[in-house]
Amino acid sequence: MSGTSPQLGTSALGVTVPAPPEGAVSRRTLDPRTAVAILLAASITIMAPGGLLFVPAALVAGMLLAVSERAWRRVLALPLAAATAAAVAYLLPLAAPWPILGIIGVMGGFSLRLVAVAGIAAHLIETVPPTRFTAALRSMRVPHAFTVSGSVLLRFVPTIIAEARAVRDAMRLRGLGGWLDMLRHPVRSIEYFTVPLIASSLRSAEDLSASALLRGLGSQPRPTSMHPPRFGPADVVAVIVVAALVTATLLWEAGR
Amino acid sequence: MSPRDLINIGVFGALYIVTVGLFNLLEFISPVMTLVTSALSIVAAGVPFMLFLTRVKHAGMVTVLAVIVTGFMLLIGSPPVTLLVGVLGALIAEALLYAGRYRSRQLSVLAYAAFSTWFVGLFLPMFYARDEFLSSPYMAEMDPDYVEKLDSLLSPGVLIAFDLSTVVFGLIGGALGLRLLDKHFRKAGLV
Repeated sequence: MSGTSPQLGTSALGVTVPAPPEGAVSRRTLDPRTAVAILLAASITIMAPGGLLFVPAALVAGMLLAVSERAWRRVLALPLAAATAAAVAYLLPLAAPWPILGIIGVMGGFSLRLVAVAGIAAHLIETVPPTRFTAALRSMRVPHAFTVSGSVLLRFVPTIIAEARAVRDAMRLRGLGGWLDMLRHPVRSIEYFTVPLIASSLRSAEDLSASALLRGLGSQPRPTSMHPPRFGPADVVAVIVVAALVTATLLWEAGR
Repeated sequence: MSPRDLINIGVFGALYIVTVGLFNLLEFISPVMTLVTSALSIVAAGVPFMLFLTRVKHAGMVTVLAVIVTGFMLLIGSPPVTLLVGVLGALIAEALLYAGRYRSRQLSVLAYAAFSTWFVGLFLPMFYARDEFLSSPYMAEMDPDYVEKLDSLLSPGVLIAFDLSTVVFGLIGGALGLRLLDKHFRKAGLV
């Protein structure tokens, strides 16, 4: 459809090949295991009852991580998104005593939590390529079935997004699609969209799986990494900062 | 499970996620749309899932799919409880598929409905965090009558109705997937 066949030379599938610049791991980036640990800690505490308390700490952590990778736009966007969600959550229900506004407010409060977690997730997605991520999963002894299928998934999502864009363009050319159309005839638009998407994606999947099998995916010995995941000074700094943020939050709560 | 099976799981996992993600984009129109779009994406993702079921005939494959799909959702900020809900739903789906010897069409529709219940996990915190919202200082200023009305709107009954609705949309999605399978993919030799 779009002519984007999977790049068979990339290395997301089990075999780790140096792919500069992303393969050359700088000392400043976090080990994927640290990033995943911070993300999980944030989403577990924030999504738990009473987790709203940890939202400021997670927002600060997300902004610091964005600063560390010099993603200035995210440094600004994160507090803006959080402020919008907070306004919907707390100010909108005051506007009029309608229960519907209250429900939108509850959803706004939920989005506020989501924004706080997503700030940290964005860092992980931006700085950790699938190769390093699977190497980290392997070193955490995650079973073979999950690392292989998970790395195929991470490798394949961008390809399918490209195919989806092509399908959407083709639909537009024929005067189909558009959000209103989709809401008016949901089943028909699902058919028009998913059928070509699946058909074209499966074609590139055939190539991908042939190449991956040839290159030893799923072979019995554990593959080794050119850049085995290692904890570095950046990880120590990150752990100290997170500990400080948690302590500050707890002290603030105790002081109220 | 052979490596080829694992690759297939990854490919269909990616197809599933992209389908769900694209139909969820509508959500940006307004927060109220969240529920409409998740219903729409459950129905839409039935198409790749039913095709997935025609290619996999091994126990455990739906569970692996659930783990990597919900694991990916976890990475982009979903609540961790989603993973748990996803695995439970997938195990039920596996049992249904096994009961039908991986051939039964009706049971595969039911299996998709069971698998779809992982969507419940995405919204669970919104329901158990409601007390926090209802007792916030802002709410204290409101009319108690209003707060009570809001509380009853977000009652456990509504939560259960929402959970059941994912199953209903799962059934619709599974049926639609089967229909499209017969209409398009079987003809094109993709099944």
